[in-house]
Amino acid sequence: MLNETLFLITTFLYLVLIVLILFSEATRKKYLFHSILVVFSFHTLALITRWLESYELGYGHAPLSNYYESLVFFAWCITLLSLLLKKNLRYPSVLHSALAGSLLIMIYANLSPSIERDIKPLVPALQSNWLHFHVSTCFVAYASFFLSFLCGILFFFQSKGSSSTASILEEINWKSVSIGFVFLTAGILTGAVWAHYAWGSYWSWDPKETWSLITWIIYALFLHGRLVKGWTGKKLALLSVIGFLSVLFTYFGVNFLLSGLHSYAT
Amino acid sequence: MSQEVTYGKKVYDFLSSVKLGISLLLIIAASSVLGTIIKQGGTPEEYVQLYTQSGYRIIKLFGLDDVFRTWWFILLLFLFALNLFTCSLKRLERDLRRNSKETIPPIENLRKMRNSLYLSGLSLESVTEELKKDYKVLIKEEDGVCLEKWGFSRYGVHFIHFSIIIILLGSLLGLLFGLRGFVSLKKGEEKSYVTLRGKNPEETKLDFLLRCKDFRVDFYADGTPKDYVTEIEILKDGEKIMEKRIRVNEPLKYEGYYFYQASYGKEATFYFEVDGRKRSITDREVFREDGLIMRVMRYEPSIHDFGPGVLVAYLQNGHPETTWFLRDVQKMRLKEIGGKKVEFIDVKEDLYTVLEVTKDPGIYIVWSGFSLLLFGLFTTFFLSPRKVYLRGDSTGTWVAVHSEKRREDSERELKKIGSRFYAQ
Repeated sequence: MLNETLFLITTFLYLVLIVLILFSEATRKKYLFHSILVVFSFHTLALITRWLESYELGYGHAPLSNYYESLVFFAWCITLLSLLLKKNLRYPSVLHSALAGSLLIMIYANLSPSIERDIKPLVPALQSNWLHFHVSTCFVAYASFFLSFLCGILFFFQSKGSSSTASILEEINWKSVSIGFVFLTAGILTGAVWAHYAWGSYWSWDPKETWSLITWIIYALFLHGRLVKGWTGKKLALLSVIGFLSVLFTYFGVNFLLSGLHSYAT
Repeated sequence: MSQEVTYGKKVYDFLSSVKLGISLLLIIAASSVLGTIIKQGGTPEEYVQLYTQSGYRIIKLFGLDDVFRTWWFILLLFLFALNLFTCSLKRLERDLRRNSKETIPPIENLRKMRNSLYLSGLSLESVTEELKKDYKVLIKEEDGVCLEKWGFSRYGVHFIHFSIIIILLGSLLGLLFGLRGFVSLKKGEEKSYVTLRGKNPEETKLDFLLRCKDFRVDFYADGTPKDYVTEIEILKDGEKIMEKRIRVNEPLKYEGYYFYQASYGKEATFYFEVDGRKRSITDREVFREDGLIMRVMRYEPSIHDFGPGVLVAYLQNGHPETTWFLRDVQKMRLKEIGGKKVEFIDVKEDLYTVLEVTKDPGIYIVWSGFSLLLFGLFTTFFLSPRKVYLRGDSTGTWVAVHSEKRREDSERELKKIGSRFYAQ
């Protein structure tokens, strides 16, 4: 179907973008924003096409319903946030590595033989408007935490002695975690309301729920560490990394290692 | 006496410390990890097989097979709520005290502030009048005014903290006074009780009657389930009160009870003739009549080409025996068991729907906690209070803006105020 072709083109464009960033000084500065905008538009177009094609098949649902769709949406959220945070990305390595992250996710999602890419109908449990609110808020959160993770990693690898880059990184990190925390909370709460209407209980300590709570606690510690205890530097960078590992486990680990109510996502 | 006071204060200080809060959160997170990697709610045999006998003993001792319902986990949550409450109370006190100390800086300080401008030709009163449309007046002096916008966002963090306590209270209410159970209904069946979940299943009576008008499952072309629909009627004193289609994601709510489409199953009814009299039993029942005691042990919809068959267990002179009946084989259709002539006539399979039933008096408290939490987060992270200080002199008015969280906000706010007056 058309959406598959568009997703492949989008993946290729991400690749071109990264190659240009690596080898061309011009893209690195002047044309970077516009180049990203082009790739992002294609990505958006592919998502919309997939949405429309699901109606042609008679299923009609947003592309937020299975593992493949979650991956391409995750990459979309990362690129979107990179664009929105453009002003704050005075430390371009964050932006570059975020785009590299989107590229890797797109390659995995669109080329891996182990991933089911067909548009599938929604099982009864997923037939709800809460699907849109719940999945989109969660993935905006995951993408923000990915940016925070990059800030954490780059903090450890930055050239020593330059306190200005460190403070820029910390600023981006702080912004990412703030956005991520608000959206993760929104994701958990919309999930709880949905669970109430679908399963009859807003909280049942399902592994996915529990791990999202663990992730939430880690980022709550990040926020309080900085606001109350005045933590900076290494401590916060380390927490960003730990927090994102928890995100990864919530996203992938729970699906593949633990069984539970969220089993549609595998 | 004074010793007691200091002792009490020490306990209070400990209970309300940020350190305790962080430690509790870490312990709760660690216990939650255990609750997801150790199998929950398994049988003793499963635990022994997975973790050996001594491992099982430790699991049982700490309730690790049901972490989220053990007394110590609930206690942790309780302590956390207490800590959050006292800690926030302390902070609220401090915040309120600080805010009541607001003063307007003198004119020479305003002039020196980074984000200030001079509105020449405009009197203090006219500037105040204009700004009052969007700002709240905090202090009014003879030659100075302090106004504020989004002041409530300063308390965003308190909304967040208290909302968590509200959510915990709401869930406690549900835990104490709510119920969880299920009811299974065949098409046409009526019930006015719910089977409660728990180690010893009990039944609780409803003061209305549920009647299942219909139940069906729809499939997509590729065979995956599309829709489970139970059509239900609620009757009270023989009168129909309401009718509703229950689907997944569309529960029925009535008198505080929620009925959810949870699952479904098949139940077979077997038709026999015992000494020429028509009789029917389901696969859950034991048949007792005139000394014949029998029960269907197994049902096969098709045995080779001989049609449906049932394995029946019965008592022959007090000894248990089993035998197969096949509907479409003459020889195997009619048998003498337990001193009676028993003929297997037919079998009919019915779908039955299983509705999850819950009652949660805390649900609206939890929902309001959720809303407050989101509101608190939004105000804390995306809004910041802006204060405007005004001082008038003989020829005009000095305006200065101060935002507590970000300097950029002050700049932006000042620009907005400037354009407001120069556009006029």
